[in-house]
Formats: sequence, structure tokens, C-alpha cells
Amino acid sequence: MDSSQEDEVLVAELRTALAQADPVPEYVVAAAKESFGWRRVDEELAALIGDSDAAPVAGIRSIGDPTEPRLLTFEGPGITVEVEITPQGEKRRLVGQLVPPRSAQVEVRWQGGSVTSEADSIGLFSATYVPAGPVSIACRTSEAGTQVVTSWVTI
Amino acid sequence: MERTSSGAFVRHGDNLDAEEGKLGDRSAAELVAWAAEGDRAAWDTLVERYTGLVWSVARAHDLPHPDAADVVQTSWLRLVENLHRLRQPERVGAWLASTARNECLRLLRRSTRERPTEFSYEQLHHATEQSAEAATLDRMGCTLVLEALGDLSERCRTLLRMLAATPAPSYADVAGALDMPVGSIGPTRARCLDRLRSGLAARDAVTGHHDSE
Repeated sequence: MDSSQEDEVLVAELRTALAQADPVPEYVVAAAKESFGWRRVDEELAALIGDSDAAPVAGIRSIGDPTEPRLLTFEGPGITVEVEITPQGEKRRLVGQLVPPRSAQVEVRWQGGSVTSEADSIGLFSATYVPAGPVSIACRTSEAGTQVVTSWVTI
Repeated sequence: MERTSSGAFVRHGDNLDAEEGKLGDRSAAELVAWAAEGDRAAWDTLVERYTGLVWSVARAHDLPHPDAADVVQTSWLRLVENLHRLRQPERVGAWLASTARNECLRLLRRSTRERPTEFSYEQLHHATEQSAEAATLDRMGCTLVLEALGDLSERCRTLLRMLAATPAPSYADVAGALDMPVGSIGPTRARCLDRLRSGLAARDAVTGHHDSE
């Protein structure tokens, strides 16, 4: 065998070994397919533009202090959503701020459920015991016709 | 209503598999476009095509099952919200893998939990015991190649882990995810495989195991 054939054999061996020892769990594939149910055509997206957990240099891993709050900033049309996340046992406590400040109906959504809250007149809202995992926050303000939803992040 | 490539009209959400038979042959760009219009079968095909790659990214960062599952799920949810917005829908594989990689790095920065090395012998032994095909598998060989993989640098481990995903990804998708020029994937793969081979030979020498061929 020449070296490129040897390489192909080794990759194939690796692929077989990985497929045996570490296949994608069925529940992961099923959940990914179900995520299509989150598809919405009438919502505005607030994209993640700031994350205190983002690595300063690509590829460098450093260990952060898990007791320090994680700060996320999402920017949507005419609205910014700032969220501070702190651990609450195995779950998470969220404290959010809408900028510019305004009242709104807020729904914190995760894969298994959601919790509704209200942002007060200065735009402050909170949610407790949110499960770790993918999360998205939907905000419906009184003057806007549509909802703004934050981009999914793993908390 | 939308038109399938064979010209028939179907409602959004109808199972195109029945109509088309082989969505698996469709290009990534087509699948993304159809999924964006509400085609569930196109979405499912994307999931079947790329979840292996996305999982390999999460596991290459030594994330245990629950964290890896979260990273994979967040990546797919991000795609759902961006189906209409992808600038290069044909590169959705790279987009997904890159999204997963960023989520992994964020998650790792926060965690101080002790992480077992990805392929401890105990985990592998358990996995191969559970496998229905364990009897026909060269169990020792399977374990050795994965342990040797675990010894490689993070760069080689990640690259090989992704290239060895099921289904096999394109070099373009892997290059896009790792921010490498596509032309460098081949040579880097060759170097990493050389190191894997050396590591295997060293382990063979220690354990006295001989390949069956």
C-alpha cells in the first residue's frame, strides 16, 4: 500500500471505531429534528453581539470563575437585551434589561418549557430556575406588533 | 404551496421523501432553501447529514454527553433562526460546525469541572460491550486507535475526529469550521495520521497486541 492508501485505511478504521464507541445518541438526532418546530417567520431576531464568556483569542482556553455572572448582549431592531446569568444550583438565574428601557411581556424559552415574566417600566425583568442548556428570550413590547427573540445560546 | 424539483406541488410540511425518494442526493443549498420555506423533510435530511459532524466537534472538545448534546442542539436551533439569512447556504456544514466550536469554547471557559479524558479504557470497554456487533469487531484494535487518538495534540485530535465523523464531511466543511484554508486540510491530515500511526505502533509495542492483518 502506498502512504495515501494507508491513510485512507487508518481514517476508515478511526471512523468505524468512533461509530462504535461514540455514536451520536438517538435522542440528540431526534431533538435536532424537533428543533424545526422553533421555526418562526414573524419574529425579529436579536443577535448575540456580546458575551463575557467569549474567548479573547480564538482557540485559547482559559478557565473562568463560574461564580462570576455571565453577561450577554443581544441586539435587535430598535432594542437591545442585556442578560446577566448566574448559577442557581444546577439551574440558572437570569436578570435582564431592555434598552431603551420599556415595559414588555417576556418569555424565557428552553427546550422543555418556558417561563413568562414582565419587564417593568425601566425594562428590568428576571427569571429563576431556568434549566441549563439552549435558551432564547422572547420580548413583546406594548407598541410593537411583532416579538423580538434572542438568538439561542447555551447557558 | 411550493413546487418540488419534479414539478409537483406540495403544501409546506408535506413529506417530500414520498415525492422525491432521495432527498439525500440534494445539495446543501437546496435543502437549506426548502427548509427555509417550511419543508420538514429537507430539514430532517440536513440533520441526518450534519449531526455526526457537529457531534464530533463537541466531543473533540472533551465535552461529556449532556454538554455535547446542548452544544449540538444550540447549533441546530441557531440554524433554524438563520435559515433565511445564510450568506453561503452551500456551506451550511461548515456553518454548523463553526457554530458548535464557538459554543464549545464558551462553555469550556466557564467550566471548572474535572473532565475525564475523552476515551478512557473503561468508557470504551463499556461501549464496545454494549455494541451488538462487538463480537465481530476487533475490540482491542478499536480501543487502541481511540486511545492513540486521545494522545494527539488538540489540533490533530479535533481535525481527525471531524474527518472521521459519520457521514464523512467534506474537506470544505471541516476547513470552514476550523478556519483553515481548504488546501491545508490534506497535508495536515497526513501529518496527523502519521502521528496517530506512531502512537499506535508505540502502544502495540507496549501491549504486545498484533493487528489481525
